[in-house]
Amino acid sequence: MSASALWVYFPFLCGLFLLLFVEKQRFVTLFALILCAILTVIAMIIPVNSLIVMGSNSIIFSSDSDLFGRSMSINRSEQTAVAFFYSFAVLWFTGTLFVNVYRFFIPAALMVIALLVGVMAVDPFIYGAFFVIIAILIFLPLLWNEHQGDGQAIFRFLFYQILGLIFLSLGGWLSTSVDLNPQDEFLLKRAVILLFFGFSFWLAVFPFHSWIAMLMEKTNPYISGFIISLLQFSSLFLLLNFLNTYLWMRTYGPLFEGLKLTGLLLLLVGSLWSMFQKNLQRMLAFTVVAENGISVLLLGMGTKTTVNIFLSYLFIHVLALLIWSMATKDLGESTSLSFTDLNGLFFRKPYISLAILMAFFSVAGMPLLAGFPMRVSLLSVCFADSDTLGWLASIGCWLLLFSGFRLLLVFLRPGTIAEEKESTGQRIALVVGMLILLFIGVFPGFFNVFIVGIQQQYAIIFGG
Amino acid sequence: MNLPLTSMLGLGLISGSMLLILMSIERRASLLAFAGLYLGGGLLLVPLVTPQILISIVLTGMADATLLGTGNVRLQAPLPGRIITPRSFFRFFLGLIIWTLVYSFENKVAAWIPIPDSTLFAALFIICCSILSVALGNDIYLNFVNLLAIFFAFQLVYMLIEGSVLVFAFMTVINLLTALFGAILNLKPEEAQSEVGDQL
Repeated sequence: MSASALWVYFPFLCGLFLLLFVEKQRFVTLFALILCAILTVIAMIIPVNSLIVMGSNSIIFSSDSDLFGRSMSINRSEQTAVAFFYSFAVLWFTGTLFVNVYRFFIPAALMVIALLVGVMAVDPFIYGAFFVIIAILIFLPLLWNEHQGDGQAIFRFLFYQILGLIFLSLGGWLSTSVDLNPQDEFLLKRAVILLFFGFSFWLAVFPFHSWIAMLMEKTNPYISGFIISLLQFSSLFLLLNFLNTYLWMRTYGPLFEGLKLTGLLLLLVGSLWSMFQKNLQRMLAFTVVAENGISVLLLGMGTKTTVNIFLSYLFIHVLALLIWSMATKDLGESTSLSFTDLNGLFFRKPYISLAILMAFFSVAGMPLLAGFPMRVSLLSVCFADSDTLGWLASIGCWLLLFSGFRLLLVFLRPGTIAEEKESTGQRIALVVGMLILLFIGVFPGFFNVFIVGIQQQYAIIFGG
Repeated sequence: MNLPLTSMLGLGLISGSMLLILMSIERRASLLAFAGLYLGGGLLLVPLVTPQILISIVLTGMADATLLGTGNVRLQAPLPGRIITPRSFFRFFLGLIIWTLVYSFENKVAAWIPIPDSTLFAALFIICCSILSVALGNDIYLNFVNLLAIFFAFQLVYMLIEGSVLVFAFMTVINLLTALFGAILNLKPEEAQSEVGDQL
């Protein structure tokens, strides 16, 4: 048995199989939860390329398998990331017990998770970009709601993702040529430009950022939150893979300078525009842009410490996005997400408003919350690099905090909100989520088991 | 360029089809032009790929056209009174300008993308025209036709430089899923069906 069969093909087929039972929501949720939990545990405790003995029988658990003449391989160093993906699925599937989502969400999400594990497994890794687009296409019908707009938001999302795929694939192909002859400046510059555009489309870099705000505003918050966090993770994962695979990229100084500048631009643009939004989901969209900026900035620094902060930050961001999405979805279909309709939310739905604020402030780096230690480390390394970088990064971080305070004011301002309260189940889920965010703020090493594993995989990038 | 007859025919078919899509005269015309793109692509690839791959590409295109056309195009509807309007006329000339522009810079791109000039020219022309068409219009149906055209152009280039069966399979899946999703997105609720016109 191969690792890809267990963590890619099998869950994908299970997702397809579950499509047949979408009417039995409880069964589907339970099945997917148990499956993902088992796959997480296996990824954590059984190393690949080992012999599994069961009585008189034995199975060789191999890392490699073939797919249309190409290799799919999951190594021991990648098992932590696999465990992360499936535990991420467990969290989002558990969330569906407390919010109403489309009945197709869990089967489609299971297939998407399997495909994103495939992104890690496929060799050459650039083919992972195709897996990402297939995952997006599987998920798109769930984002489509004929009562919210004419589909322009989803079209724009797909358009930018496909343009990103085109640039990344050509850039990946050209990178291989550059690897053979790194002195060829002609090809090198073209490869870097193509990759820059590819990642710009995927990470919503200014001026290719309009899709993210449109998508998040017009679609179901829980579903868009899920797909955005996965997309963010897989884009940055591909970027790490590029740096890990090509020596010329690791030694090309202007690339890291470019990453730093792009990251800073994203952070400033995202946080500034997040301050001026009048819709909860649009505000989140620009916060995601700012977060992407922080991730790219950290990668541009190119040290072991910054990649550590980058990974910790990514985990916190995913968790905060889950809590935000759950809370926003709990507001109900009848509540508009525009700020004028959310005035006084704190007095009507205190748990939801607290959860939204905590999720936002965790990402923004408020003291005592999960993102704070990472934010302090980020600013320290920025100031160590240069004063200008440090000050500009600080301004970006402050702008994000100001957006949070603005949101707080909206929730506290008197207004008219429907009388219905949160259900007990929703309250419990939100309180647990908030406690986790507080817990991580107090014990920032909580994700270390994942981070150390993933970091080993990319040790070569940062001189490990 | 010293081209084989099939490549010349393919190039002509692609150029004509793309101009027709850019002019956006009518939904049926755009759909036919879209199918023409794939036929042109097939002719262009005759000397370059195996017949199996060739048939797969053309069939994918026909499947895309069928998926997009079903429910969105009324074949029995009468032709519009005026086919050539000032808009379509100027778009046609815009297309010709782009054709000349692409012809002038194609050799520079060919220096680092090692595929036949005719294929590269066709791919660049399709991409430029489609992006322009998406930028100029906001009809979801036509936008999907253009998106699929862009992806087809990429497919022409990437399948020749990669030469991998896995990549070809991926691209076919992406192509069909995009067309399927385009068809879903274009479907109107029951009550709005009767209001769907053929004129763009």
